[in-house]
Amino acid sequence: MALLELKGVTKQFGGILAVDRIDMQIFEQEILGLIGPNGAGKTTVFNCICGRYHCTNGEILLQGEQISKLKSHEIAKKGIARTFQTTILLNNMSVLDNIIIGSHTWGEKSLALSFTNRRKYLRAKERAGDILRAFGMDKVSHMAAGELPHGQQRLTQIAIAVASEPKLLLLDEPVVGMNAEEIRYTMEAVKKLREQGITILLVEHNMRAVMEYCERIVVLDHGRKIAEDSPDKVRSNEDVIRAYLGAPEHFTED
Amino acid sequence: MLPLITPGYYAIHTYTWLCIYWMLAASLRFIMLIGAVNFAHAGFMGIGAYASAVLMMNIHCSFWITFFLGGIISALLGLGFGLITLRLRGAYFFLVSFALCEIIRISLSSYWIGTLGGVTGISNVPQPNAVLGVEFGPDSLNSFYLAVIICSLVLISLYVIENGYYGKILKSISESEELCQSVGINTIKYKVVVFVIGCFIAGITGSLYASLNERITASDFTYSLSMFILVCVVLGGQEHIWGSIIGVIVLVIIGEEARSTALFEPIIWGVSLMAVMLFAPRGIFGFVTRFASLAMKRSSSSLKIGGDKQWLS
Amino acid sequence: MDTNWAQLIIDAIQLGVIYTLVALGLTMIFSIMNVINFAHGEIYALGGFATYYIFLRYLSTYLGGPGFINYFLTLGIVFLLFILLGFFLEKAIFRPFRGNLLGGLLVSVGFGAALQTAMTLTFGPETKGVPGMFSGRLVVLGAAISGQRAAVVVLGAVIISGLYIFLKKTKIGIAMTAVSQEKEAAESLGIDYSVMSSLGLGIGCALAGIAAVLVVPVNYVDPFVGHAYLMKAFIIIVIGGLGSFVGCLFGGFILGIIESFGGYFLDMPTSNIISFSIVISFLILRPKGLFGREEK
Repeated sequence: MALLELKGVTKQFGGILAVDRIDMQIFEQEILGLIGPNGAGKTTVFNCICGRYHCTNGEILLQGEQISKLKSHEIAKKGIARTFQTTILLNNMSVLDNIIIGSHTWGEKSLALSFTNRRKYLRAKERAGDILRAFGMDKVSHMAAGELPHGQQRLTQIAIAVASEPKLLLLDEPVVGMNAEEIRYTMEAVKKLREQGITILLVEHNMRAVMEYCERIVVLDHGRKIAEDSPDKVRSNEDVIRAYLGAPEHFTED
Repeated sequence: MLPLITPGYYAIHTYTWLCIYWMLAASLRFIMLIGAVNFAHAGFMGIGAYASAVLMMNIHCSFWITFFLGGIISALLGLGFGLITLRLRGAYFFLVSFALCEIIRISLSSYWIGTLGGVTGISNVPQPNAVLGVEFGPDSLNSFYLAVIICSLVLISLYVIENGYYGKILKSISESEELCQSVGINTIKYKVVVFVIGCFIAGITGSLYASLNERITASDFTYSLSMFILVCVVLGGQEHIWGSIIGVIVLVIIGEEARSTALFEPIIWGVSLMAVMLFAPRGIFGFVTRFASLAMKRSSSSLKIGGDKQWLS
Repeated sequence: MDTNWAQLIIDAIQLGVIYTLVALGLTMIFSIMNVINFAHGEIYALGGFATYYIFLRYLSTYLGGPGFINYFLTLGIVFLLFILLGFFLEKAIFRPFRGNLLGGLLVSVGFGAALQTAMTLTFGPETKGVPGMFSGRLVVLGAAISGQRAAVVVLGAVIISGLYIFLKKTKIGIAMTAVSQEKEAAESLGIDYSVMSSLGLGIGCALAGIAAVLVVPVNYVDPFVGHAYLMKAFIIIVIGGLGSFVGCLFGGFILGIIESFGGYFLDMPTSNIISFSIVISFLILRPKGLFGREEK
């Protein structure tokens, strides 16, 4: 059974049909790429899955359970974590604090019991430290997140998402603005995450990264799915090439 | 200024009032921690005041019960209001709280005139009942001590909440609600809880005020009072609870000094506010801490991504 | 007692026109600078005093008694003066707070308090009025309306239409609309945000000022009327939507109806509560108002 399934998902904004009857499956522990020219609807699909938007029609099922109508924080609690296209961090708080917040479960008790959360907080803090070490960022753990260089900020976003112990991790253009070495480092880290049991859905414009690290790729154009295949097949797919011909710069390798 | 330092009626009177303002300022600032500027704060105080007064006078309830009931009733109203409105963005929430403040004022002065006293309000509100032989007369030393004790408890509680783990979540929500939601934090719930706590404190402040002042009218609790408290919070510095304390002191002093020059009071107040906003927006506390050492250690930012190249274990 | 519906509606329109003018000024300031100008009511009051002094004192003294020409002259002078006032205020006070809602709010509160006291000290706390010059009564569909009040409606409508044409048809107006909707996009097209925000505050103040010019012959002015008008403007903006022109018209009309009908069938406190309750309902059910936009 697929970990996540989209059935006929449609999203309309007023008169604009952003996403048109998408069917899609994501299987456990795979890295699935979601690509398409600008305006194809990738981020919209993304946002529908995480609950930022409610889809106009269709269903989204997580391990068979309907999540289409849930709010974003409820979906996060079900085990879907995400990063953002623009870098959203708690800028004035330390990197360590940012990751600790990711482990939301430690703060969930009512106010009256918040003092008993000390154990949970310390555990979260320890775990945050582990994650930072694994991402190679433990030296910057006390820096304000807003002062990190761009690449490390993007990594921090992923670390925060990882801290919430997700089953499915949605990455929205994680390597945007990074240089080649940073991209490789990040994508290798993503691969390691998969080996830890996390399923990855990757939206990216960087074709080299997508082709190299994704096992399967779904291609969207104008809100519709036009291909769903292995990277080699997608690369030579005529519809895909035609869709991108209007934006050739996206199809070159960085 | 001297009367404030020498013991006597005037000093006790003023310091008691400071306690009232401190509680209002600290609780308003607490609500502002989650990004909501509650313009109805004075209204919630009014609800507590009227509730306490009416219960004491009509069913002869003891102050020690009506004190909390005033807070609870305000908190309940805050709960209902907050659940509905806290998902609104900043400006809209501000406007709707403004509307609520007016609704409260109009309701208190125009309806149930028999019980609430209409425009003239309620006079001869009973003092706190004597307990363990301690009597609380009007403007008495004991009333002053009561105000100080309650105020201290409130301020300490708020400080503890803010600087504990709960406070860390609140800080995160105010930095980025979206990020918090994406990791599973139900931000609305936290906002409502904070709002309810703030309203509860406004309510008990009202109850205390009702008995200490002995009379209350709806015009005591208008948006002007909300605005005054808001200015105290911002002028003192939003970053720390001490800011609210300082802000109240400064504004009350200005008020006292200006009173001697009668008419000029609002203009001094207004110009001071403008000056602070233009030249020291972090308030007095922020201004002072600017010269203190920075809290965060800064390591060199030339670290490359990847650092030690450690993989997830 | 027969209810004169037409009378109620005419009264509603008259109230609505004035409130709409004030609200349009406030919403314009908000659209462009993202600031709620809490001193807007005081600026209105200032307009009232300006009318009193310019119209009654100076023009009457130097250019012959109060009359049509002097009145329209006053209208023009106040308009220009207040645009300049807006420019000045933007540079002196509001510039650092563009986009900063709380900061702009507080600085405008300070300014409003200072302005109100300044007016009290300069002009005195007594109410001032100005004689109307439009005499006579019109009868429209069975409703009587004094000439002066009719003038308010007509002139108000003219000004509102003028503003609409300005925003939709002139280059500057279109630029302002663009800035209010998509600031960054507009800037990348070469529109100077500083000029636009000065102009926005200028027009906003001018609208409040002119509203007062229209009202003073019918009603009075004193340094304290500001807050009441500010509240009306808030109500309209919430109903109609922050940043929406059409919303203001709609909201102004609705508020006019509530006050006119409410004042007649119910008492004032209740009709005030109805206004505010509608405000809250709108904010709950349709926070953007009827026509509002997403707040940045």
